[in-house]
Amino acid sequence: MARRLAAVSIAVVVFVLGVSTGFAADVTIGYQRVYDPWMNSIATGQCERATGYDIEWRAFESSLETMGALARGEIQIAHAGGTGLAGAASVGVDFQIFWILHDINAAEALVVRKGSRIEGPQDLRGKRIGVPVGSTAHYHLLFALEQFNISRQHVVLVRRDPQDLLIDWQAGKIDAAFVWNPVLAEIQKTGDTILTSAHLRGWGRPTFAALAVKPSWAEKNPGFMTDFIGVIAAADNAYRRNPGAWTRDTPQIRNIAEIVRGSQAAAVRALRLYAYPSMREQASRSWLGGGSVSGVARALSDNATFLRDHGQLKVVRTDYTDFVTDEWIRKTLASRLQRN
Amino acid sequence: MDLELFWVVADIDRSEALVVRRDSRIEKPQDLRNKRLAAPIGSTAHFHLLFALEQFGIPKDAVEIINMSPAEIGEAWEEGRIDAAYIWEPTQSDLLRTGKVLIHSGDLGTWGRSTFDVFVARPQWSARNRRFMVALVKAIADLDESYRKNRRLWGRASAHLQDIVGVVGGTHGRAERSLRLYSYPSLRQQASRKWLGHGNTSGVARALSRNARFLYDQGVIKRLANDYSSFVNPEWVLRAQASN
Repeated sequence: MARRLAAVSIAVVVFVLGVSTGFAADVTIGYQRVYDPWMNSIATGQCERATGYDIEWRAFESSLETMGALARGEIQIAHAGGTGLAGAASVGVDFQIFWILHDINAAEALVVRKGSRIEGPQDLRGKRIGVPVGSTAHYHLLFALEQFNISRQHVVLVRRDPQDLLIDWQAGKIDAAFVWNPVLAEIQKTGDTILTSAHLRGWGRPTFAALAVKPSWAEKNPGFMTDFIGVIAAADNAYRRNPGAWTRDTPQIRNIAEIVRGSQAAAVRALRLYAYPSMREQASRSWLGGGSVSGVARALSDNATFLRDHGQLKVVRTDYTDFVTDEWIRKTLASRLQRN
Repeated sequence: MDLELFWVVADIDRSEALVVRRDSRIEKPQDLRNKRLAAPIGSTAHFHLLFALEQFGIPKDAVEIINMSPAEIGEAWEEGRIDAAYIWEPTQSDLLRTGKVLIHSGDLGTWGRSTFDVFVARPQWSARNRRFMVALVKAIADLDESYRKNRRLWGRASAHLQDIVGVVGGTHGRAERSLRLYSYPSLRQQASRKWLGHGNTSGVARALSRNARFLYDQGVIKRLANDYSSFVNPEWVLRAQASN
C-alpha cells in the first residue's frame, strides 16, 4: 500500500530511465502543468519570439522526472519543486537554479474532513493523512507535525498522488490531506483548511518551484538566458501589477487552463494563492542572492536533510551553494539598465 | 447576569498575535521552549497564548509566562527582558519593527477558538425596543459592508477615518492599520453556525463556554453556567436580514 521511494530510486529515476527524442530544437525545456503566469508565455510563443530560439516544450508529471531528463542531457532546462531539486543535487545531478517560478505560499494546504472530528492540530493524533510522497507538501506536512510535537508513530501517513488522494478522500479513507490544486480546491468543498504553506514559510521553511539549467549550456547561451528570464519576469509582473485583470474569460487564463488541463475558474483561483517574487526580490538573499547564505541554498539543505531523515536519500551535502546562481538575473537586470 | 449577546462587533483575527523578537532565536513554534513569553493575564490574548502552546504540544512548564500590561510589554521588549508577547494593537505594530508574527488569532480561530468583541443588551430592554434593535444592527452591518467592499473610502484622509480617530483617539495611520487587522462578519455570516446561529452549536456559544472554563481554571471566576447558548440571541440579526 504505502509506496516507499527508496534511496536508490532517486538515483535510478534520475540517471537510468528515459526516452530520447529525435527532434533537434535549439533547446528543450521540461515543464510541469502548474498554474503560473508564464504558462501563457509558453502558449503564445513569446519565449521563442524574444529569444529567437527554436524551443521544444516537454511536459513531465513530477520533479524527479524533469531532473532525470536534465541529468541525462535530454533537456537543458527543468521545472522542479524545491524538494525534488534537493534530491537531485544530493545524488550529483549537475545543475543550477536560476529562477524562482513561484513561492508556494498558500497554494498547498493541510485540509481536514468535516466530520473527522479534527479542529486543531492536536486532533490529528491517530488520524490518517494523505500526501504525495517526496513532494514539497510531504516536506511541509512532516515539518508541521514536528512543530506540533506530534511524532510520526501517532499519525498514519497515506502516500498517494493527488488524483488518488481525491478518490480516498471521497471514499472517506483519509481524514486529512496536504496537497495542491486542482485537488486542493476539491477537498476544500468538504473540508476545513487548518494550515497553509505560507505559515510554514513564516516558520523558516519556504517551499517553491524553480527553473534549473545545465551550467555548461547556460554559459554557451547567455543571450538566451537573459531574454528567457525577461519573458517570465514580464508575465509575473503583468500578473502582480493587476491580478484582478486575469479573469476567467481572458486569453491568458484560457491559455494557462489549456496548458495545465484545468478549468479557467480554477486557474484564476490558483494564481492568487501563489506568490511571484520580482527580479529584485529574487536577486536578494531571501532567494538566489548572497551565495552560501541565500534562502534557496539553505532551503535545499533543509529539504535534503528531511529526505535523508525520512529514508529517501542516503547522503546529503554539507553545502548547496553551487546549485544556486543569481548570475542570470543580475545580467538580465544589467542589460535592462543599459537599454534604458 | 441577565444579558443577550446579539452582534459580533469584530472577529479579532490578525489584530492580536504572538510576536517573537528577531534576536531571540525563535524561528518556529518549538523554539518557544525555555523562552519568556508575555501577555496581559485574563485577556483574549492570554487565552490564545495558552491555546497556541497546547496546539504546539508545548507544556506550560516548558516556558515562562509573564503577566504584563501592553505598556509594560513595550518596555520589557525594548530592554530585552522578554522573547515574545501575545498582544494587540498598537503595541503589536511597535514590536513588529524588531520581530515577526509566529501565529495570530485568525489562525487560532480556524483551529476552533475564535476570539471576538461583541455587543450585549439587557433582554427585557431589547424586547421593548424591537425596532431600535433591528435598526441598530442594520446600521452597523451597512457600515461594515461599506468597509469590506470599498476600503479606499476608509483611507487615511477619509471622513470615516477622521470620525473614528475623533472617537477613539490615536493616529490616522494606526486606525487604518488596525481596521485592516480585524475582520467584520456580515449579517449572513453572523446568522450562521460560525457565529450566532444554530443554538448551542453556535460558534459564539461554544467559545463562551471555553472562555468561561479558561477563566475558571485561572481562578478568575468561581462557577460555570450549564449552558451558554441562552446568552446568545441571533434574533436581531435575523430580523435585520429579513428586512433587507
